[in-house]
Amino acid sequence: MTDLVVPKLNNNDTTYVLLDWLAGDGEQVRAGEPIAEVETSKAAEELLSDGDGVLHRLVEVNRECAPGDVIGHVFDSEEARQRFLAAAVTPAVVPLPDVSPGGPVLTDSARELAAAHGLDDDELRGLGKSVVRRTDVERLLADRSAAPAATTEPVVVAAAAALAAGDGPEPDDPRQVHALSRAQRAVAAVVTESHREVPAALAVIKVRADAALTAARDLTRATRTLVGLPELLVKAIGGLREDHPLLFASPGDGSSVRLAEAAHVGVTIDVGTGLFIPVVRDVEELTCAEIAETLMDFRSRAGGEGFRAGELAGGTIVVSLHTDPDVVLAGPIVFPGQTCVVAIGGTQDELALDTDGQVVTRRFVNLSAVYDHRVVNGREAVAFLQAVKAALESPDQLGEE
Amino acid sequence: MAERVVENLNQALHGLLADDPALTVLGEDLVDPYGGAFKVTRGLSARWPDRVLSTPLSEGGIVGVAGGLALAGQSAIVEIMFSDFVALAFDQILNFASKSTAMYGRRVPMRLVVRCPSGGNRGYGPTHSQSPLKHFVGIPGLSLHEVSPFHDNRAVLAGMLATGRPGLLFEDKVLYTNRMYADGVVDELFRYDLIGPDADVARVRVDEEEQADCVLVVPGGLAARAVAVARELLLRDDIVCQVLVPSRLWPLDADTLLPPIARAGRVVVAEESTAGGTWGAELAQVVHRRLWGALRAPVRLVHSADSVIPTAAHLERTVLVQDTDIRQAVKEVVSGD
Repeated sequence: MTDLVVPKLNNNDTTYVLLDWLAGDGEQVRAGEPIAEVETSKAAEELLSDGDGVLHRLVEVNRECAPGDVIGHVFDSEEARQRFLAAAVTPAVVPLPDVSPGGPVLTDSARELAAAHGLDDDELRGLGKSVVRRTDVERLLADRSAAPAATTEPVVVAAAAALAAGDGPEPDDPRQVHALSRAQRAVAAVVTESHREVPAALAVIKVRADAALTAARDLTRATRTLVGLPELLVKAIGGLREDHPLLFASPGDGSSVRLAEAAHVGVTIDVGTGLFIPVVRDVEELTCAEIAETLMDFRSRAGGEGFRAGELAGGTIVVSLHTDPDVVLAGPIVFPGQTCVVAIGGTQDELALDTDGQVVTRRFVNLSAVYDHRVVNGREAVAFLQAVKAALESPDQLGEE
Repeated sequence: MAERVVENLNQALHGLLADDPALTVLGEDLVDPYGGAFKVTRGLSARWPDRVLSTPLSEGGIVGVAGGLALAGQSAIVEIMFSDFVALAFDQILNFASKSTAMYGRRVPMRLVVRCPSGGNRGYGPTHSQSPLKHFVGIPGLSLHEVSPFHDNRAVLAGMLATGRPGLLFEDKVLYTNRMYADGVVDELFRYDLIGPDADVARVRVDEEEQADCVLVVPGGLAARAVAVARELLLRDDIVCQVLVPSRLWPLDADTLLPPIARAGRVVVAEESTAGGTWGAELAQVVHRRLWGALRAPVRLVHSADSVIPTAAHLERTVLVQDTDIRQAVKEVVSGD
């Protein structure tokens, strides 16, 4: 018998959700065959069977499971599975939180009000309704206040104390509640860690964009892929790892850092389904067209099937895209475990004098580097920005196949 | 476990072919083993090889032949592979089938139904995802129906043929894999019944809730979406919403739809087609004319965006009506914003 163990898929989730079983209870499975699918806060990942045999599931779909949890066994034969079942080993499965069996269903605002006034299920059940709405709870409370006053509930006392302290919601706060999605909670964890750990500093450089925009247009035509400034920027940054290693480093114990051996560039993508930073691997080895295809694939998957955990990990630097018109500047957060994030704003026009003294329109874009000041000082950051600027302003090398 | 909508449609066609020896079913690629693009006609040609016929790609021709069969006293059901292509049969429907009932000095029954798989959210792109029902609204002599998970399709199709009026049956493709609702139960909170003189309108409501804050009227294709919205509205927003799903969309059965709307005083009509000359707009003007005194808010229409339907799923979602759009509309109508 082998156990199906949930592996550690990323650094920011403590639990995942079992999305689906891909094989049935008692079904024959082969080594290397996907048998379950789990979802991290950002990606769905298939779990493969270690060996050939008969699957026995221990956990139901939609349950949370943590890295290291055994969610199933693969037995050598059906007899072995039956022996296991006969031995009545009850697996340590956490029961799903039950929605008070037989109790009434409460609307959200009814639940808040009932909780604030410490109403219990029996009182609510006494209403004899299948759905308890806010008005029902209000009626119940009105009936109650006609009775002699009970002692004030601890919940209300706590809320009052919080109010006195100048924060905390009122028990019957009428404002709408907006629940954060799982993906957003993961973003929250990452940015909080970064905010706590990284003393971030900012440097911004102006990059003349005409040559790069022309090169992007030519490359788009020549390669039949959609190359723009972001693709050229990813390519440019990838080529600077060897000369500017500290910007591609991983902070260590405070006395040293680890230098990256390859440029794996994370790129921010948000098509309305949450923020993802999938990683373009080995940028030094890729052409602009290959980078463009990778990013196009990322964008379509961000809006569709999502990412595998491996695609969101292992970055050595991040490019943060803020290329909407008129965005002058962005100062994103440094991804934990990295030392630098480069943000690109929107393309802007300016008037300039050409060599003949004629007024011409020129295009430019602001690039900012936010860097971990424990590792990088302004000098290195600006040198890095100047190198990116130089690569983008003379983009011929970037476009080479 | 109730059957899936596609199975219900398939069984309906089996039953009708068995009942009516004069019925022919026509369409592209209907014959087994393919059994139609969405498998609605699976198994029919094996049982009735001379009455279930695969045709050339010629929507005008197919509907023309079916109209001729109907004029000659037979019955015909046509499957258009994607409803977008019913445009090619518009002339036959507008100028032949719907007129033939009244051009011969006496009323001539035309037993003809054209089935149209419609709607998007399947990633099929601009010309295979539209909801063209609105282009047929208001043609004298023509009936429009839409498949819903509440209405048994055998009764719907038999009823359409029995009226002697030619009709179009729109079938939202997202329904095919959904299950039919049965026995008056939607889920643990919602119940449904069929109201009106011919039990044509499905009414979904919370058990024991007499008074609704708002009525949501949708064609069958949006029924499951509307039920999900009503559930969210109740549990998240404390809003009681009643859902009405008529099987026949044209002619409008206002007498059945209006009383519940009058009781709530607020109504939202949602459909997946784009705005402009729609079924919802027709219903809105009837409601305004006949319930002016009872309305607490103007009738609110929800349509898809004025856009060609993109193929990419994440873009398509932003164009076509989604649950969130309907929920937002109901909340605005109820809160008076």
